[in-house]
Amino acid sequence: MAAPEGAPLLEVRNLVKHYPVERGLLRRVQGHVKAVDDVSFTLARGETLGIVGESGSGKSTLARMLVRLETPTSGQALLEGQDLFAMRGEELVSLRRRMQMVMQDPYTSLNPRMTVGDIIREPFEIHPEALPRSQRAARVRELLDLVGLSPEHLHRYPHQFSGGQRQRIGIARALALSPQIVVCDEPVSALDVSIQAQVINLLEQLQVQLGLSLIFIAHDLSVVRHISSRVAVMYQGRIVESGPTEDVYNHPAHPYTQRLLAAAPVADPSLRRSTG
Amino acid sequence: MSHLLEVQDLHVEFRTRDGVARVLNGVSCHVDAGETLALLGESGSGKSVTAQAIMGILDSPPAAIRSGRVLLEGRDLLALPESGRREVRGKSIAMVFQDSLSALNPVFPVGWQIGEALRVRAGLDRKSAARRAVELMDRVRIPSAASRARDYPHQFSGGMRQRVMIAMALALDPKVLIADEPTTALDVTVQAQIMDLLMELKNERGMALILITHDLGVVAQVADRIAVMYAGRIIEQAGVHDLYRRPAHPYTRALLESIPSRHRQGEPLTTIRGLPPNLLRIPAGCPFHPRCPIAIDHCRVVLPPVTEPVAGRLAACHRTREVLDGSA
Repeated sequence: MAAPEGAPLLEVRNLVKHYPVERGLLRRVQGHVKAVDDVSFTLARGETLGIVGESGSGKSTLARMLVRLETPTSGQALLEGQDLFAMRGEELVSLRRRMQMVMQDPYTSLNPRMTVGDIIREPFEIHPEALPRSQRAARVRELLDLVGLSPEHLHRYPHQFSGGQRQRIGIARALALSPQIVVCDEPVSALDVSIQAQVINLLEQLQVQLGLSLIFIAHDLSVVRHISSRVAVMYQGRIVESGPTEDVYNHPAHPYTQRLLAAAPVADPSLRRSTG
Repeated sequence: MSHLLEVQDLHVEFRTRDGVARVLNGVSCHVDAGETLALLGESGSGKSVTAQAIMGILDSPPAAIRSGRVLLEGRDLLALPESGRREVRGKSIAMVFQDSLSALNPVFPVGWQIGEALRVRAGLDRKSAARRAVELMDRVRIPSAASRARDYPHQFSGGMRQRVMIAMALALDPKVLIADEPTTALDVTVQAQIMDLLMELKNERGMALILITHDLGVVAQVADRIAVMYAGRIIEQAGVHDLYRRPAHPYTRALLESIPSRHRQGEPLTTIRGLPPNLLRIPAGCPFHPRCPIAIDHCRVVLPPVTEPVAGRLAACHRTREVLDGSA
């Protein structure tokens, strides 16, 4: 069942994730940590939604639930009208093709024993129906080219690459199955400033070129502002504020957003918060 | 005029399995009482090694100081025997590290660790060292310092642990405080609190602060002067306002343009092509030339000397005048 035109691609409703806190020898449950606490939002086709928050705000748990690495305690996420969390078997397999993730740490998220070619080809081993075997080699080359790597890189191992190049490999892997949505969890925070810009530009360019919808999770407010059309601010498991990026940044309504924006160091010495 | 701390033409090499990495290639800088000098650079630029050489905590081997001087109030620390270095460490120059969890000993209470220098170095007895440790914890605004002094490092949040590290560094009242990426692992709101605390302590005690960071935002907020490092060299040095308003080196300019800014919303970010050089094989000429958008033939052959294109500013670029006046 296809969703009507104009409906959001993804609609998250009242998503909750509680982790039990266990104590003592018998691992009795003493209470719950509300990692994600009643989160709702929508994502339109071709849109970039930024999610900002500090550590412990629940943004990574949210990301991991959306790609079904974690099971929510309750709530729904409707992808073109179908609930992600109700999907089983065949449906779930096809979901994994439609939603992919780019991880934060380019050093630990790539298997060190696999060549770059194998890493980018692996999604087709898991989803053989996605592309006939005969076309895969060409597709892998195409993906490498898409993320700015060259065919000679195919037979190398992750350790032979810089952090920025590894993140490109991770992006190529995420794009292999032509997903509709890519969830990026802090994709540039482990990279040097000059390399960050390359990866951000690449993501923006791919989004336009492939019509992707991005969920871009980061703690760096200026990066999120740059890449997102809408932004949601998370604090203690909840979205405390959301809206068009410029509105939220220029007129933050929630006290936490105001505090966050006031604390962010601006790279302009004429705008010092205090006189050191 | 002599400076409180002055580094002169420091060269450091690392012996590795693959050859000799030239990590510092003639670093010169200075800092005075009450001043904040930022050493700004990306990973591998040599900023942390510079700090470790000043502090005398370089792992040698593999590191070897080939030449240069580190003058503290005119006295060359590199010429001192290890016992002399130990005397300076903590007492005259102290350091705050990025990763407080691995810099603190997990099996001792933090109060005991803060008091250690006071017992061993200042000869305080246990009781007065413990009392002084609580005062220091109080000073860095750790709530209920007296009871928290008995807690272990893992019982503190990242921000509070960083305060413990600062208290420890302050114990012997150093003249120079080196802070190596002190807020990199922290959340934005906590980061701001820690930087405010460092600035306040610096002013109150008239310390010199050397801030090592890759964060152009933090630097803009707190530094007086900035030394930008690339491939083991300081390629530009200037006052913070001058540097952000009108960089004198194309690398600095590219760095400033590569961070997202409100003024260039909707445009692709400026990128610096390629990668920082492999320190085992630093390119001939200017080490930045393969990535430089305005490199000329001369740059590929001749290493640019450090010049003073404008009074009070230093730059190592053949075309620095054109960069400064905007014609290149």
